[in-house]
Amino acid sequence: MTEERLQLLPEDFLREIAVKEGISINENIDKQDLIDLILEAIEEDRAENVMANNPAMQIKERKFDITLNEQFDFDEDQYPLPESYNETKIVMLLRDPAWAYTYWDIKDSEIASLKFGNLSGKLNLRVYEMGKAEFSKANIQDFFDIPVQIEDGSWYINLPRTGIYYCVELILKGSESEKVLCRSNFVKSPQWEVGELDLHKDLKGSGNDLLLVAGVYDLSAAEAAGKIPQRIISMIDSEFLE
Amino acid sequence: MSKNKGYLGFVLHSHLPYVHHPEKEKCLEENWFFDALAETYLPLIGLMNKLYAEDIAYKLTISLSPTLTTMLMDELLQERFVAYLEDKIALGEKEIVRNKKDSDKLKLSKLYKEHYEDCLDKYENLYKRNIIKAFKTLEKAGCIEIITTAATHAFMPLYQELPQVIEAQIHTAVISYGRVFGQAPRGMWIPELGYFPGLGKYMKQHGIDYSFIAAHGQLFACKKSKYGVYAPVETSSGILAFSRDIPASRSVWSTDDGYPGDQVYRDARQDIGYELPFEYIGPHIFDEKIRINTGYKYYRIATGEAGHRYQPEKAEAKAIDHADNFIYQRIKQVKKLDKLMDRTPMVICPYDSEIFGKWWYEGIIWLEHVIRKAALSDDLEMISPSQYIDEYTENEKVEPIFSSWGNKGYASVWLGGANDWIYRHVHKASERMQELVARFPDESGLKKRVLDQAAREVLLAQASDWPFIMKTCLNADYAKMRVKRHLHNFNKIYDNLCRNTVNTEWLTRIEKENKIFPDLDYRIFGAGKVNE
Repeated sequence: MTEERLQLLPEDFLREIAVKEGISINENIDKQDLIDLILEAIEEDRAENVMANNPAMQIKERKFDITLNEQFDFDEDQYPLPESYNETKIVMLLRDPAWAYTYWDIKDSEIASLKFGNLSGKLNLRVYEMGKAEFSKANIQDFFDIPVQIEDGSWYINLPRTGIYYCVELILKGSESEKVLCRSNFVKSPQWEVGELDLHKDLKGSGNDLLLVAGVYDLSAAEAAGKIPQRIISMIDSEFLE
Repeated sequence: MSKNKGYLGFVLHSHLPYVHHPEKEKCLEENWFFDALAETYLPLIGLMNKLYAEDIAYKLTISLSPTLTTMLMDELLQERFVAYLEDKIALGEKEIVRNKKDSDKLKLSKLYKEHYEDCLDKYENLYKRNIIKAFKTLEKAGCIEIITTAATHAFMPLYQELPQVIEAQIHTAVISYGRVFGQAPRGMWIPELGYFPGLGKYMKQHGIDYSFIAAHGQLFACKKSKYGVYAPVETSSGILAFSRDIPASRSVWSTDDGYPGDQVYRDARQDIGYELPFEYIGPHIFDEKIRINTGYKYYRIATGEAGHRYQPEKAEAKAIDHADNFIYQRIKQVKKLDKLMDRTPMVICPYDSEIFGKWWYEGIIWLEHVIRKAALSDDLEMISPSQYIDEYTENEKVEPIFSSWGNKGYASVWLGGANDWIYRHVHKASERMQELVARFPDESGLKKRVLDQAAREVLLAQASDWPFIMKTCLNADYAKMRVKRHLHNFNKIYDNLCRNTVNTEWLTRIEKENKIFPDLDYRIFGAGKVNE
């Protein structure tokens, strides 16, 4: 979106854009100041996008970069989607070794019971840490609860450990009893280190040399870099190529 | 063991989402395809033909996505591409007049105009609009191996609980490849290198021999591989997974420390489409008011500075230097590896094809000289993964972990605050598609047409491009519209089938708009189970 393009837009529309961009504006702001603020926010977004993406993603982003103008007027209501599918269900998706996303839906009749009927209590997500992808008491290693609201519909869950399975239940917790509304699928959080590699040994011996060449150069640096694989590997690259 | 010290596996991934809007006179997003064709695919085919004619030995692996091949074969898009090229040539004529007193710019105006004229001439007269045939000819000549990718490029890990989706994506891709290329693919590019344990069994079931993964997908697996990332590993299902080599990838991918960031190269963003007044540029931008890239660019990359003229001779010399450097680094790399391995290391260099030409203007020159130098080298040989696995039939058994080449290495690009809302709906539509197969297992005629279109709409909603654009691009409206429209179309069909009604006029219209996979059979969503 260029300044030239923004100049053509009515002030009311500019105010709407400012709200969408999260810019707080006072009532008396003039059009040029408003445009400057919007352009500043857009530039910040762009810089943030660049920072957040690795080189492969930056290039892919440019595949879709055909104009700097806003080019599409899409009426969000043109193709409405159902707010609910009237089923009681919860799904868990693994985002990375440390985070999972869960979304849920609750049948209209159960929501009515929760709000007005005989089911009372507070809605919780119960996250199970499991040894196997099979729900049984013996496989539960630990669990924790996250209070949520019916309206939330989805939640990001921080996973405490890697290399184990997780599943989540939607639970109604009363003062003395609980009701499990539904249980999700299992996800397995992958381990975040090199298999069978003893970090305390000399990496340059005993068949580990190939791993050094391949990219596992300095795992302590990886930990310091926040355990982001690309960062681990980019450090290795420069070391290896020296 | 080979006489060479190392193999280079160049993999060019070629994909764009399906964009086809016959309902509009023109569509801005179709320029994704036209720009890629004019700036990457036609120059790339030209380069490969030239090298073949000179008897230069090389082998590239090219993944062509089913959505891209469909667009390459679409008559409407072919017609519009010709109009696109004619407009570029017309702009070139104007630019030559405008720049007649500026010799540097004039030279570039002529260069660009000649490029578009050459594209038009080859597209119409040499390839006769049949780009697929041009690729096939190169494959027949032994220069390239063509592989496929998932039908609409879905990010597989986010559908692993829906086996019918994984199955439909892979099976449809293999059928589409067979229809287009007349044979079965040996390799499959996993969209965004998004692997999850068990994915291989779906590919194996459809005859795929090998695929590619992110390096950490293998390095972080429970079992350590003897050859690191320099040999494929055999997954639990028997698919061979080749890992991306990070040093080789980074030297090209990185905008900061990679070759394309050099300040002598052309700046892709400084384009007269954004610079010249509407009275002049109006007829060559979108709807005469939306400024777009025109391809006429006169400046080189110069961080924070303006007015640096682009000099193609200097840029070409630098691209040749960078090709030298790349080959030098790879030779150094394989010599180190040679001491550590008892077989020839395979260095996998995967790139998005559009890097070459479209994003890195001089990338085609760089690629040409990499190929020429590799052909002359005693230490390197370019081969395809198929050639490698035919030579080394035994490979270590390791199941890679969940991984991708996206930011942070997993799914956060495709699953975050900007795009997580889609999964609830796309998952539901995928489940309902399977339900429809169970309810209507043996339909024909009009009802089959309806069900086939429902399957197309679900597949198109699953494309990884839509959540990607929602996450990374400032204007995500087109991507949102596409997901919502495909879901809306699907839901309408689902509701109509529940009421046993069909609006044939509406059906015909959406069949024309979304006419991908002409031989799709909706029952593909009924499988979902694979043999262990």
